[in-house]
Amino acid sequence: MADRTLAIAVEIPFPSRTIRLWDGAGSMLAGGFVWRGGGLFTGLDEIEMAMNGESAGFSVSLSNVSSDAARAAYQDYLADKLIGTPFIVHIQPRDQYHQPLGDMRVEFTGTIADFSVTERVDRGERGDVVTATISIEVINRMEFRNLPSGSVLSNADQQLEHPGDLGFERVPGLINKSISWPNYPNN
Amino acid sequence: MVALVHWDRCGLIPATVSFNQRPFSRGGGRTLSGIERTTLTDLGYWEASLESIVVRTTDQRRTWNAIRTALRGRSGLVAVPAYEHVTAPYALTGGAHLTLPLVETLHSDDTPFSDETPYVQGAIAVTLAANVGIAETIVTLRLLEGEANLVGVRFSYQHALYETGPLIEVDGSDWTVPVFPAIRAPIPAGATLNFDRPTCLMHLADDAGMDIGLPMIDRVSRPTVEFVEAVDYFNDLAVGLA
Repeated sequence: MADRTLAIAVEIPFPSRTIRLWDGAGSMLAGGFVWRGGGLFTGLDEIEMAMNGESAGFSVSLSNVSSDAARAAYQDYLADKLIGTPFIVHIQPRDQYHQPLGDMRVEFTGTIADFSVTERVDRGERGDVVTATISIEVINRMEFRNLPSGSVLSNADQQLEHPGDLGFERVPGLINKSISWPNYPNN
Repeated sequence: MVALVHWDRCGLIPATVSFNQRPFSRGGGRTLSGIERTTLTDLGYWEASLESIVVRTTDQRRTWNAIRTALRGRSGLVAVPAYEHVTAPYALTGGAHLTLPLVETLHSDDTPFSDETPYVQGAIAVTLAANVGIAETIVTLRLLEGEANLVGVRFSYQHALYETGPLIEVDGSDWTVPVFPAIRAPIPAGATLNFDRPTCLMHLADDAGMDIGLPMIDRVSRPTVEFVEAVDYFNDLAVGLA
């Protein structure tokens, strides 16, 4: 089995319909599901491990999504259910004849943070070429490090975080306190 | 099945036909020593070009116009003949240079059906010995009538074109061979495969693919048409949308 190859597949379980795509031409039957081919995942090259605690978000465009699936995704988007949907990248090992062999492995899981439908016109050799794709912004949990937390050094936030702790009890009083320093007794 | 057009294999004859494989290879680029390691991620899809099709007579021009009107650009589906007659495993010739006619048979008392048509079957009879599913790449063909060599031949099933590779195993009349591309749609065991006139379901490569001019002097046009396999249709079929 020296000639084993791998197939990359992406699963997006939208609330109303799960989209399954893989990086090939025809369909693939693996893990008990049919995976649509032809969806070229530009952007998957940027996947990195959350190794340094960095936010490793990336943007993926999906092509060859059927109009049904795109509509379902858009409905979910309108219903505010799309953001937060997992984005799962699987690897499917294949045998020497490139047939799916064995179980799929999950390689990456992210969360969808944004979703946009793009339409682009390129000047082709023989007329304009219009491309319509779905772009998905995927983040991992380290993304929260990029976001301001919104909390302040106040007793209210401290009580939420550590109930009963009195460390910030006098903070409100400090705001109006005038500090005279240095103020030695012998002066 | 959605609406599709059949290419007129007898009326619009190209000077050169090429059906080419387009595998999905991924590489990391060349190293300093000039070596590149590539990995196959999928067997790929078909690309075809029918070069220098002679369009001369009124009939040919009308057929051309009708096909392109039905296609309506890149999204239309067309069943393109694979022009396989040189490689087809005909029993007598073993690769005829012409497409042999279909075999027509009457009832045992020499009568046709009530609408005057006879039974029609291909000159080659090959069925599938075992079920194959989507994404499988090995098939076992059962040769019933035809030349005993099923290596490097083409067949189609429901307009999905396949090409066989080097032999894996022969067991009596059962030939186990790899195919290109990966199976697009499931084929049940015992299904009769189209070896006589295989077709491939394709799209035009671009919207302007069937542009044609009319030379006013000799009135012979020799356009070239490029096609790509309609894998999107088979994908829709696989998830039950088509």
